[in-house]
Amino acid sequence: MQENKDSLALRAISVMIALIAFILGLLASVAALSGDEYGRVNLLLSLFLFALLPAFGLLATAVFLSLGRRSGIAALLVELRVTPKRFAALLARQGGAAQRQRILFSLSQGWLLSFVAGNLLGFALMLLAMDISFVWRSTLLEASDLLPVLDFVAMPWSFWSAAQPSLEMLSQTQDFRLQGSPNDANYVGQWWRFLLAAQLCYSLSPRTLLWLIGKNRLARKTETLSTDQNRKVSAENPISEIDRLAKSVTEIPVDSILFDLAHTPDSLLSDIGERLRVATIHRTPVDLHSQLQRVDNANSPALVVLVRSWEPPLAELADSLREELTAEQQSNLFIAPIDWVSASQKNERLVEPQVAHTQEWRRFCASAVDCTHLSLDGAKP
Amino acid sequence: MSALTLPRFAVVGHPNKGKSSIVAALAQNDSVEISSRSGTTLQAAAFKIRVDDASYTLIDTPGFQRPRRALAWLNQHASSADQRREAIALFVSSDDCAAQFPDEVALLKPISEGAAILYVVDGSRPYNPDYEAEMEILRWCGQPSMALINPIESEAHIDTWQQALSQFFKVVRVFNPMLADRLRRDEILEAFAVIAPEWRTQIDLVRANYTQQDQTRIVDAGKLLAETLELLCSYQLNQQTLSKSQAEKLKPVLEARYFVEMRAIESAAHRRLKELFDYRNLDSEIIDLPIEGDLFDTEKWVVWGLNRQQLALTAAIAGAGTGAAFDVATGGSSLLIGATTGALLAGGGTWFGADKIARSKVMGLPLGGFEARHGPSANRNFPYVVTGRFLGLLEALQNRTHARRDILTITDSTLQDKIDTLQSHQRKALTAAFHRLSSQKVVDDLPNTLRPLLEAMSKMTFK
Repeated sequence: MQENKDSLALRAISVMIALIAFILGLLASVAALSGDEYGRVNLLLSLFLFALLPAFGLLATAVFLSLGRRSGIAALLVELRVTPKRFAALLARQGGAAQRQRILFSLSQGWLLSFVAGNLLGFALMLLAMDISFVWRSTLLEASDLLPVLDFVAMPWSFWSAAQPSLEMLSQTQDFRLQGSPNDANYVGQWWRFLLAAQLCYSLSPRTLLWLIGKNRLARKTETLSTDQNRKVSAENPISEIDRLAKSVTEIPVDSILFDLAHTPDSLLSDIGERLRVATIHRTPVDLHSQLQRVDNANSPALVVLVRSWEPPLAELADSLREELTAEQQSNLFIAPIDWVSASQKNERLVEPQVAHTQEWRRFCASAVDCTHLSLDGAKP
Repeated sequence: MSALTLPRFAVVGHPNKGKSSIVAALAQNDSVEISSRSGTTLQAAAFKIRVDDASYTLIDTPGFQRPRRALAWLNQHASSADQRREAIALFVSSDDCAAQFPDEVALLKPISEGAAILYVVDGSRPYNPDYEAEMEILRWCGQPSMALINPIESEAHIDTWQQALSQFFKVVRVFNPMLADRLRRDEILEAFAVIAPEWRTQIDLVRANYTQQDQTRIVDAGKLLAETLELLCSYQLNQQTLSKSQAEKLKPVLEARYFVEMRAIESAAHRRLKELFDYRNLDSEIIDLPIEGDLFDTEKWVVWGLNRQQLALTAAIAGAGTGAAFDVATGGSSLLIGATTGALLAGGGTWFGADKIARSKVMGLPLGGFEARHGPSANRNFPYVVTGRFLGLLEALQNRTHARRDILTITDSTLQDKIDTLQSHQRKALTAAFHRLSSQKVVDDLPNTLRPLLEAMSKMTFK
C-alpha cells in the first residue's frame, strides 16, 4: 500500500520536474532565437543549443551506460539536492540500488524528452511568429572552416538535401556588425531546416528511444519483482496424526512364552524372564516363523515378544504374527519394546523407551496385529 | 548428457534411520518430508539437484520392511552369483513381488536402473545382525555403494557399525544430516566420486559449482541487505490534515503503523534471505526490531501537497513563462527582462505569501494544511542494528542444514567482531555508508561496501 503511495508521489514529483524541464526548454529556444532588433539570430549559438549540447548529452549518457551507471547525471543532481528533498527520499525507498538506477534512468530520459519538446515548441513558435535571420559572426573562423564541421553534423540526414549546409549558405550568412545587414535574404531563413534536423536527430529521436527503453526495462523488472514477491511456497499438508494406539499394560499372566527379537543381553533377558515369570524363553530366533509354529495352540499361553524400541516395527514381523497366530493367540500377544544402557558388558540396565518409540510400537500393535503393548521398567502408557 | 549417465544415488536403509534427512541435507531442500514416524516414505522420490550447469539425483526410498523374506525369494531365483543381478531385475519387475514386497520393489527399482547405493544406518544404536539380510540384498545388486552412519542420538556405536559395514560396502562415512556444514557435504560428494569414478567429472563440477554458489549467495545477500537498509532507514509515513491539532492527533496511529510496517519490511527481507539459501518452509522468531526516539513531526504544507519551497519554485517558473511571452512579443529586444522579472515576482510573492495562501479557501475548501509524519529513523545505530540482525540470520542459515525442522531463533550477530576483521578503508567506507543511511542520503555502492563484511562473516562461520 505504502509502496503504491510512494510510486504515485514519485510520479507526481517527476511530472512536476518534467513540466519545469518543458518550460525551460521552451524558454531556452525563445531566448536563443530572440535575436537582436533586426531579428538576427546567432547561428553558432543556436547550433550550440540544438546540436552540440544534445550531442554531448548523448555522449555522456553513452559513457555512463558503458560504465554501468544508468543514473548518471540525474543521480548527481539528486545527490546535490537540486531535485526536491522529497523526491530523493522517495527514490531511496524504491527497492535496491539497481532498481533505483532503473527508475532514475527512465525518469531522467523523460525529463530530457520534455526539455526537447519545449525546445521544439519554442523553435516552432518563434519560426511562426518571427522573421528570424540566422547569421553567424566570428573573428577567427571562415566559412570554409565551418563547413566540414557542419557537414559532419548533418551526415545523419544526408538524404534531406534542403537541410544540408553549403559554402554558399555559410558565406552569404556571415555577418559583420560594421556592415549593417548585407546578408542575402534567401539564405538567412534557410538555416531553420538544418537546426530542425539537428534537433530531431540529436535530441528528439535518441531521447525518445532511450526513454522507451528505460520505461520498458523498468516495467519488465517491476513485473518480475512483483511476481517474485507474490510467489508463494505451498506447504505440504502435514500427515494425519490420527492414531489408534493399542492398550498398554505392565503385568501379564504367568507362564507365558517369551520370544526375544531384541538380541537382549543375557543378564537383562534373565531378569526380564524372572520378573514376568515366563515359562519359556526363545532367544533371538533367526526364524520367528518356525518358532511360532511350535507354540502349543491348545493351551493358548500368553505370548510375549521383546523388541528393540528404537527399531521401527517392520511389516515382516506383522506378517509372521498374523500368519502363525490365531485370533485368540493374538489377543494374548504382548509386544514389549525395550531399551537399555550398558556401563559395561555385564552391567546393562533397562531404561524407559523414548515416547516416540513407544507410540510407534503401540500404533503397530493396534493396526498391524491387534495385540497389547507391554511396558517394562515402568514405561508410561 | 542423458538422464541415465547423470549421477544417481538411491538412499536406502532400515525405516526411520534418517534417509529423508540425508536427502534434505544433501539436496539443500527443506521441502523433503521428514517425520519421526517410520514408514512415511511410501514411494521412491527423486530429487534432481541442479547447481548451475551440473546436476545429480538423490532418490529417497521407503525403508526395508520384509528383508528376510525378500532375500529368501531371491535365493530361490538365483543359485549362483552370476544370476543375482538377473534375480534382482526379475524381483523389481514381477507383479507378485510388487504385491508381496511393495517397499523392497520400490527401493530396489532405481538401483536396478543404475543408481548407486547410499545405505544409511543409525550409529547411536548397537549393531544388529537383523540388518544383514538387507545388506546382502544390496550386495546382490552389484552397484557402486557407500554406507553412511548417521549418529542420530550419539556416536556411541560408530566403531562397531564401521566394522560390520566395511564387509559389505567399499566406502563407509559418518554423516550427521542435522549438523552437516558445506565441508561435510563436500566430503560426501567426494566420496560419491570415489565409489562411482564414471561420474567423477560431473560430481567435481557439482562441487565446484557449490563453491561458486556460496560466493554468489554472499553477493546476493549483500544486495538484499543494502536494499533492506535503504528501505528501513528512509521509511516514512505521512498523512495530510487540515490543522496542526489534527496532525498531532495522528501521532499514535502513525506510530503504531510505522512500527508494524518497519517490522514487516524486515520480516520480508529475512524471508527473502531464507529463500536465497533455499529455505522455503523455515519458521523463525526474533525479538522486535528496536526503533527508538520520537520520530513524529508535523510540517505545514500549502497547496496541492507542495511545501513553501516547491510552491515558490513552481510559481517562479510560471512567472518566467508568462514574462517570456512578453519577451517574445517585444521580439527579444527586452533581453529576457520579462522572464526574469516574472520569475522573481511570482516566486518571491509566493514565498512570502505562502501562509496567506495556506489560510485562504476556494469555494469553502481550504488550500493549505498540515502534514503529520512519522519516521524516518535518524538514530545512527539503526543501520548497525538492522545489519546485526540480518547477519545473525545469515550466520544461522549458513550453520543450519535443510534436514532440521525446528524453529530458528535469530539472535543478533556480534557485528563488532566482524567489523574488526575488516581492513581500515573497508571499515571507513562502512561507517560512512551507515552514517549516510542514517541521514537518509543515498549510498549508491552500498552492496559493494557491505560485501567485505559479509565475506568476513562467512569466513568466520566456516573457519
